[in-house]
Amino acid sequence: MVKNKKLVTNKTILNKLENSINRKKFLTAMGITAGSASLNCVRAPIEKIVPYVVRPPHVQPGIPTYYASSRVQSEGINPVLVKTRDGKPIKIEGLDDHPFSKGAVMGDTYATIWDLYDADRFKTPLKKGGGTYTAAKWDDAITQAKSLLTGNVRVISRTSYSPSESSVLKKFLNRYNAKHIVYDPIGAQQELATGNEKSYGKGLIPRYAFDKADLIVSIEADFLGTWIRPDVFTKQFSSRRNPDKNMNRLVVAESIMSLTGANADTRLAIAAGTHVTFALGLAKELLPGSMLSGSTDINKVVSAYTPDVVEKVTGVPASNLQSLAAELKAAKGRSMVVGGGATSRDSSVGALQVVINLINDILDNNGKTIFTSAAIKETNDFSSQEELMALIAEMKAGQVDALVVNRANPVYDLSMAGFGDAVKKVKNVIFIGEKHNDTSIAANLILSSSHYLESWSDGETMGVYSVCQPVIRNLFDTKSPGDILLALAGEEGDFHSFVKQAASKYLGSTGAKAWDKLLADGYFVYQKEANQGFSRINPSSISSVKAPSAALKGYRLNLITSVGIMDGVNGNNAYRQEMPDPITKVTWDNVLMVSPVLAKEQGWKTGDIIELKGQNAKVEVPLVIQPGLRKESMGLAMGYGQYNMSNFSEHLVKGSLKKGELGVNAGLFAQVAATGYLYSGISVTATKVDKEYRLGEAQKELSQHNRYLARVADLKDYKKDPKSGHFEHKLEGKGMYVRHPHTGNRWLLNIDLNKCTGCSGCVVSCYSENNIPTVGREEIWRGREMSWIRLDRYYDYSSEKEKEKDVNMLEPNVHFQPLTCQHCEQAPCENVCPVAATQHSSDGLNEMAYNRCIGTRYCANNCPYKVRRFNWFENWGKKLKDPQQYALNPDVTVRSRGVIEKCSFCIQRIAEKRQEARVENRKISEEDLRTACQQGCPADAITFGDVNDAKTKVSQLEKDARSYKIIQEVNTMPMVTFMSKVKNKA
Amino acid sequence: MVSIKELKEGLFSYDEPDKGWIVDVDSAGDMLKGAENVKKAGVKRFDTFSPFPVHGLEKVLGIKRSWLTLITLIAGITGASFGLSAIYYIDVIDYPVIFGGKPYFSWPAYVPILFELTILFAAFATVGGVLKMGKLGLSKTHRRPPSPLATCDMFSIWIGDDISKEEVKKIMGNINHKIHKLDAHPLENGYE
Amino acid sequence: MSASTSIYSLNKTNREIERDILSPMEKFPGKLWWFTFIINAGLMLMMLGLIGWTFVEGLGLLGINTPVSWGLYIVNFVFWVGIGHAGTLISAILYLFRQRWRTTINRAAEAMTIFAVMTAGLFPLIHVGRPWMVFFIFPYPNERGPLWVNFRSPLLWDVFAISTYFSVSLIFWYMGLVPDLANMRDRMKFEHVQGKISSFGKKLKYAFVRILSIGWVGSGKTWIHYEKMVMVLASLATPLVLSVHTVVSFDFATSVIPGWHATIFPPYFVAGAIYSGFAMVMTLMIITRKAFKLEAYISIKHLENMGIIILVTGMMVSFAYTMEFVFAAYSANAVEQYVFINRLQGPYAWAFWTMFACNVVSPHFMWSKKLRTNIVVLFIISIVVNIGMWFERFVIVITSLHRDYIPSSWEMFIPTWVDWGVLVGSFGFFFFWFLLFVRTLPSIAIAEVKMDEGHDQLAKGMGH
Repeated sequence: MVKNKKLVTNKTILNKLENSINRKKFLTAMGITAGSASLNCVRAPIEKIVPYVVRPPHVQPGIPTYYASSRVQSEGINPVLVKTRDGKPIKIEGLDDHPFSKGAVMGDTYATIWDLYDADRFKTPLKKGGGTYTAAKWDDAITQAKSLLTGNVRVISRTSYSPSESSVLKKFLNRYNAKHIVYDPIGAQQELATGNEKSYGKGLIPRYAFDKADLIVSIEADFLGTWIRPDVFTKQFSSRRNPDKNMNRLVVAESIMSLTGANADTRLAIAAGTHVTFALGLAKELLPGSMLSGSTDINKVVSAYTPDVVEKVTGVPASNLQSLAAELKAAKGRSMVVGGGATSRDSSVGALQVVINLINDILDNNGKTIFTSAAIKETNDFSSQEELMALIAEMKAGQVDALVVNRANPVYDLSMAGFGDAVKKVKNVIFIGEKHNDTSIAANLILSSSHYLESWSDGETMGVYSVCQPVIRNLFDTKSPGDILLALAGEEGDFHSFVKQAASKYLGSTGAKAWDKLLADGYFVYQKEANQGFSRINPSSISSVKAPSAALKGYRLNLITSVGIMDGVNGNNAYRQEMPDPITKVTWDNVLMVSPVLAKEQGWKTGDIIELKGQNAKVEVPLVIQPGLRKESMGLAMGYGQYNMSNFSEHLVKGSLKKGELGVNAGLFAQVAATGYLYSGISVTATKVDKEYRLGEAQKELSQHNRYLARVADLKDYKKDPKSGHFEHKLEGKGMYVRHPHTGNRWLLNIDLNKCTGCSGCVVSCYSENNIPTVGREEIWRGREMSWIRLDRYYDYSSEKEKEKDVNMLEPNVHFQPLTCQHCEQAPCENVCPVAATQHSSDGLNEMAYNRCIGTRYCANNCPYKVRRFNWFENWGKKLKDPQQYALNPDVTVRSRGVIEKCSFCIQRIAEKRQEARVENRKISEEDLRTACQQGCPADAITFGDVNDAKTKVSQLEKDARSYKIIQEVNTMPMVTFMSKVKNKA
Repeated sequence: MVSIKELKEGLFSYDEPDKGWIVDVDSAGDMLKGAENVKKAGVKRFDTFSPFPVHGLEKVLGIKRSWLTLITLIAGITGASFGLSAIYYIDVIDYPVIFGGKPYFSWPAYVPILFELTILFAAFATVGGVLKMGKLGLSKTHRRPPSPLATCDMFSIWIGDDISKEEVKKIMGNINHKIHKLDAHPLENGYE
Repeated sequence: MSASTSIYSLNKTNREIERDILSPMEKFPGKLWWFTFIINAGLMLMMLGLIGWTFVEGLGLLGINTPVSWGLYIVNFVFWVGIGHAGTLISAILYLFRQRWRTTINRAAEAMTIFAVMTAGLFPLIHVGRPWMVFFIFPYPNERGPLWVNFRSPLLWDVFAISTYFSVSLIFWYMGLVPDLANMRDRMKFEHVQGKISSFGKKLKYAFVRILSIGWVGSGKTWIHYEKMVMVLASLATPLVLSVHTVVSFDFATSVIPGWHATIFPPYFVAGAIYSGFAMVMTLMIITRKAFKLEAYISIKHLENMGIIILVTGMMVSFAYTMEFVFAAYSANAVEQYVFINRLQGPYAWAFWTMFACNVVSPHFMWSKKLRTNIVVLFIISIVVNIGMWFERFVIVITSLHRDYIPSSWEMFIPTWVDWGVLVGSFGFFFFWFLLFVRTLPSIAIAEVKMDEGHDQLAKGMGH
């Protein structure tokens, strides 16, 4: 094939370069690839796809083309805007005018660019023969697959939001009259759907409107980090975090500190595994006087959970519970109570959700803040625990002839249920996926599926039909999942036309115009949002609920999800692994979160290795001292410790990690019951083992030592004095020098700490935009992370008195502060560079000339903000493994070993927009100029623009009473302003 | 005010012995006395040779003071002004750059460099001066010492005028001495 | 100056003096010398190997990280520059103060300066990220813009200060050597005449001294200018030596980092430099006089004087330490104060207290005449002080950096074995040169000793 030959030439050139990639050579190479790409559009897809912004559609070398698409995954749909240069996607961004996401996507979506260019992906379909895999042709693979699919066929997969894929799957199932098992690795969705089914007989996941609720109470639901649709919820939540307009209030009752808990105005630390107790206690307090107060079923259950009992079990003072109840009562119909997440997974599925439903019913929030119209997920397609157990049983019994694993990793996800042993008994396993995982190695036929940026698909959620269109032709010999199923089902035609057909149903027309518009927009609203909620709950649903009514003794483990890795399906990604967990700040590992008081008692310190023993699991895992935990509660993130996760990361990080070295499998601790899994309050024993371990902690210090870096005020005080919580350094005198006039543009970045939730989306977005190298655990342990914008996290108290009150550090103020180069007007770094490698531009940027830098690192020392990064080793070059080089942004220099790098305020974007503005002879508008971090922020906390222009948003924000600059006493005159956090303490 | 004559003397340089007599004496003291006698006798070209400087010779040899310092001063000033003008050209005229909000010409930051340049120029000029006045240098490595052990422990006086051995004897008077013809020093082939 | 004020008197003939001093160089080196020489050469090679490795792999091989971007390399740099200072101090400042006892030690001390500065000079070159680009720091017209250097950067001041200091010390030292080289030449001349210079080694040495003695014949007129030159160079070297460590201290003092940003640094650094320098001179002298039997020249009185200087400078340094804390306390700047509390009880407290014990406590033994005239005690103290002074720089560089303004980026600095290897190797490098020097050049200024003797005799009015 011609195109492959072409690709080969590009490859060979780049392979040559891998030996010595320096900026010039790299750019030439990009030039060559660009040229060849533009000549015959090597990588451009075959089908007609319509660009989002730039017209005419054909690729112009050097000019980025944007395509609207969506990332359809089993956790939901992320509407994205894909930036392609010369036919290659280089950056994923949020789709701004999408009705429900409004451009909100988080780190894990930005990171998918590395998944596309993952060197460990299957290059072809693979046949197993004599224990080893050999490449196969597609036709053979399909025919073989068909031959294997005989007798008792089972299909296991995760849930799907794609109507087309589901219908194709149906065809497949019918053809082989196979049984389909759908499971949920984290459990959040299943808990919700099943719980609602119990309460309302409707197994749907409703649409939540966090922006409509004045008071939000979350019980174990990390809706800002990992629960259901964190990106969308973050957008909604942050839109109400303006202290000058009626600001919402967030109360979180949780056992393990989560992103949501960290952002809570009031956080109630409950003992691990007692969330249902808390919920019931809350319900009991609310019940009297409500229309459900009469129900005997309900009373029977809740009556036992008096505030005192709740206090005994959860540790939350009775008074707090009562006052919370009072608040909720007051906020009837304006409030929202949510609960769930991995932690909520209960031995009886949906236990917590049922109680939550009860509470929302009492407060009659249904139809006010929680809607069934345009729901997130219309149906509960998850197989019940019984079905799943049955499958495993018949697999063990060898009754399953063929098992098709459709883009899932049950061997890992269901490790606690012994799926791994069961799958060995299955005669034929067909695996559909992008790369190896614990399940694929058991397969005797692997059908290599394409990345979502290479394939057609679609999705429906919240009344919006989103299309997923390929923006690059298959890099390897792969097929889109839809095409694979279609082929297996023996259907004619390709999945593209299939999607088109499915779309026409939503669009209500088969016309080309409608289709083109869909491709251009990326979405189509087929169902208007209506204020319609659930009907009354069925009281008997409560009666089944059981919850501890006495304090749980001994160490109790909660399985949690981390923002970066989630269920671990995409763990094989250097960006996700290197993005520090917002709470623990640990990279490349999952750690045992331990309360400070317990650690003090046991003499444990962060980084110690703990041997954790459960019923049928025993692991050695590093610990991290985590404020906000009850004494004996412990947390361990899932998604790590996948033994066979091939290490893409290996090529990119120093001290390459061997397989199975990425943390431990927390799932093993889950307790299997007939009706569900218990993920919380698991009884464990923990003993310290004497082992040296180099834990990749990006931040080691907990407190900010009263340095007024991240500032916080109580809403009440703020209303009185907008400057409360601030401490300004008065700078007398003008200084000995005349200041340089910075006429024309003057760039300023404003970060609203009240909006920022600490999700770290900006960090990943910046990595992807600016070609920031990932360095790995060993290097981060040494303190050599390369992030240009980092998220500082502090646990502090507003006064010494409060600090003394809370010796166990149960309720500290949690601060998040994105810190990047401050572009100081009087930058200390500029003065000390002997070779003038860093200097100031006329538009107020602190510029860095990489090829002038000799690496004295004096600037890094003299930077009060410590935002300058040094290339300790060659971070690209040899480490790049084809096709990873395509993921690099050609507009940004790839830094060589031995030079300093740092945030440039995305100078390449400024330059691009300046160019356009000059051509069109106008000023640069702040709408089209946005930095990567700004774009990457789902909370709209970051604003960037020209501060010399009084009309721009930044210049107004800069004048805001909450705005301040940090470390002023050094008189650096930063060009980054922060807006103090305001806590809405009732 | 310094007279030109004084300056000339001050920069008086080594007079290469080409003819005449070498008078060996026993000690630094004798050498001093001898040199005084020679000067009294009105000998024009003469010099002393000793392993170490003998104080008091300045007047006798007609050097009231060494004006080496003058060279040092001039060189020092040159160094400073060169540095300053170079920096001014670079930072203000040729390629002005903003560093840490400081003005293009931020003189306080230049002081250390200017100081070092002053010292550097001055020191090298001084050494250069001595080499010139002492007619020293790599080209002179084959110079034959008029008094072969003057660097070791011998004190000698060289008399370059055309006078007879007897006259020299007369000049030396009662100082214990030996007279040799230049380039015919017995010690040249035999040490002890 | 009369004999009475001299702290030592030899009553030796010039011939004896030069035999005492030159004889070590005229016979083949002994086992001891070879032993030490080979060890140090080995260490030096190891260091060069490690440096080569970091050139290939990258500075990541060292322990430095983001807050602590300067590690042991800079510590060593400051340490070695400091060592150098005593040499110039002895040869220049003590000269101007007519301290006659300096005569017998200034040559070796100056040599020490040269080699110490050479060693120090290595570190700025090898600690940069791209050593092959290091020529960027020289302001020469180029076709890159032209891009010039940044004259505001203390590192650039360093470049000028160190190179000036090195070259001036070098010519000063060399000009001092010229009469002695001429002396060696003339001694060898007779062997030459008698055809005794047959071996290649000897031929080489003869050529070497002939060339280096640039035609010196001891003319009275030249002596006059020569003496003037010594005076001028001495008075130039005095401010120079003070400026050098001042500039080095600017690297820290002009920064904004708490614990570095201190006005007291220049005098504090100079005092420290002299302190450590004299300790090093003492160490070397004690070894040299023993090894080459020069007790008559380097008398116990010399060592005692140096002991007193160590006591004085030691107290200056202690004062500076105290003032740092006073300033921090007075500044009412939380960050500044934290840095100093952190020094006392932070993770690097051990380094601070080591420094305290070595630099503040140990010199006070010098109060006792008995101790400061005891060679063994002096030797131990001299070593202890140098250890202490190394740790002083460690404390300044590391503890200030590892916890500064932004707590989120606080990190520990854990040196790798490469760091330590280069530190040890730098000593090998230094002693490699010093050992070569004592074998090849007169380690005592013969002409000056002769002059002192001669003038004594002149004063005594006794003949030869």
